[in-house]
Amino acid sequence: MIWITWRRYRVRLVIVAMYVLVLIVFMIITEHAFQVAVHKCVQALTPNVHINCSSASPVGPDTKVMRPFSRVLRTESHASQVAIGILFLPILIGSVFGTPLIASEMDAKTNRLAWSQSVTRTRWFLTSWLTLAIPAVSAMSLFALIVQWWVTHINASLFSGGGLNQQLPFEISGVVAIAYTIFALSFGVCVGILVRRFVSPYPVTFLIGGYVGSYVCEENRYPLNTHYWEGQWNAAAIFLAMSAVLLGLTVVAVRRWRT
Amino acid sequence: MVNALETSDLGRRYMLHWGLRNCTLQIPEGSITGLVGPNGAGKSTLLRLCAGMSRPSAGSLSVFGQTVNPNSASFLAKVGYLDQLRPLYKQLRVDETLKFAQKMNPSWDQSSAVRWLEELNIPFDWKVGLLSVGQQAQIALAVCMGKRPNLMLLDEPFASLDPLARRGVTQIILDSVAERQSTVFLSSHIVSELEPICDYLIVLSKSEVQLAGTTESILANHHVLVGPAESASFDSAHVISSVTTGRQTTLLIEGEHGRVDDSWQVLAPDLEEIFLGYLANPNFRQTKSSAGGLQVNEEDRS
Repeated sequence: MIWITWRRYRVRLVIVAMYVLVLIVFMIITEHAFQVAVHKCVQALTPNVHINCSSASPVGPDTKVMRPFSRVLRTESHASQVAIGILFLPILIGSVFGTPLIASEMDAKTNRLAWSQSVTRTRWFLTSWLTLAIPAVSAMSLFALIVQWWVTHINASLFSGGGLNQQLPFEISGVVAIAYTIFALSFGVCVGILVRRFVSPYPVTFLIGGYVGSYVCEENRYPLNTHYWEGQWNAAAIFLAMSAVLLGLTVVAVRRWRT
Repeated sequence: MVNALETSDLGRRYMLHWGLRNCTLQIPEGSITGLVGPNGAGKSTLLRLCAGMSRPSAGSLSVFGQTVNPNSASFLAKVGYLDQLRPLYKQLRVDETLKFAQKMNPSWDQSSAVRWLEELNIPFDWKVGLLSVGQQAQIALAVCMGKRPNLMLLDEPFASLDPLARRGVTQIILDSVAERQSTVFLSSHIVSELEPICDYLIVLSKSEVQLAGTTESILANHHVLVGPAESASFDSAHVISSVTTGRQTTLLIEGEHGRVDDSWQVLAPDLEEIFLGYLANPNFRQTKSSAGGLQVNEEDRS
């Protein structure tokens, strides 16, 4: 089952890997552009050292200061666009890998083939799911470190206030990155088996799963840095509890006789 | 002796109508049983129920004494199922499909499956989806047989095969029975395909068993009577079909014909004729030997 899952998903795997690669390239580009912009800005501001590049607008209509400053803002907005692409990653994984795990088999009726072999449906499902979940979680943890490097480098040089953690995207860092990915894969597979008879499960996973995911993150994100990890653990616990329920539902649905 | 398959008042309801009902059968181990009937008679429904792909709405069924349960590993290990649709992973190559079957079945017989597909000149490096329907059917059958199940449930194994391939499939079925004492339960809507290999025959009609028995007992128990049109008055319960052409009447009857006067000629029909007679009269039910049951005793088997 491990082999067949890899074999069936290798094209999707390449596509998602390329998406991640593009994100990483954009992260490197925006990080570099940001450092250059900040450096120029600092040079332009050297006579007025008391002015902070990020927090307040520079005093006076001095274009020598304005131009490098707006460049900092511009690279910053580019970086936030990349951040949006990053925030979609867990639910994208859920839609691309989780949703078709059973739904595509039932669409092609290959579940009748898979379920008449010597392996029980429960073992078949859990093994296939873990074959996707383990690498997805490992890759996501690694990716979260890259994101952390990126955010740190973009913020650390000049930004005042909150400190690092506040600036990190909550969804894609720490334990939430792992728990959210597990949730997305569980949500996708469960939606795939339950709603495929009525609507296409892919947009349902992406939109509703994405909404639920960002809602949970939003509810547990503390405005102050002090409770950052508390919020992380809370959100992760909620994600994992929901995943357990969704996987349980899926096992029940798979074990029904219907094919 | 434990039967390979036993059903008791088995039924399956789809929303409003019954796909199968009142089905009571016993299929002995090591036998080949053919399931015939017109389209929509319930053949696939019965095989799907036996394979655990569908839950019974009524009655019960067991395989080698164990209640059919698709979530039981021991049930799955014993049963091979060839679905009507021949589902295969279209994006896998042929050799990858065999690899899949190997990984999914501890009892997998790789060399037989490879040998068989090689004999059919199926290219192993092609994607399954690019092969013809008949070739895909052969691969699906190879996957089913390579598992070496004790009970093989084959839904129309001859469909979409050329005559040579049909002969090959017949041979493989016979070999597996001879070598491993497997039990085969297969369906077809062409009785002549089943006649040479089947020990037992079951005719389904309108979701119910119309006729069941050993091929010998079915043949022995049916007669064709040909006689004058005006004197055609037999016990109507036993007359399956009656065709009058001009001044001659041809009757297909079940059971002993008793005394017939000299104007009547008694002929022995073949299975095809009997089957056609039952097809023409779908409401007729076998009257003798407990209607619907495939009651087999030791005398019948020897």
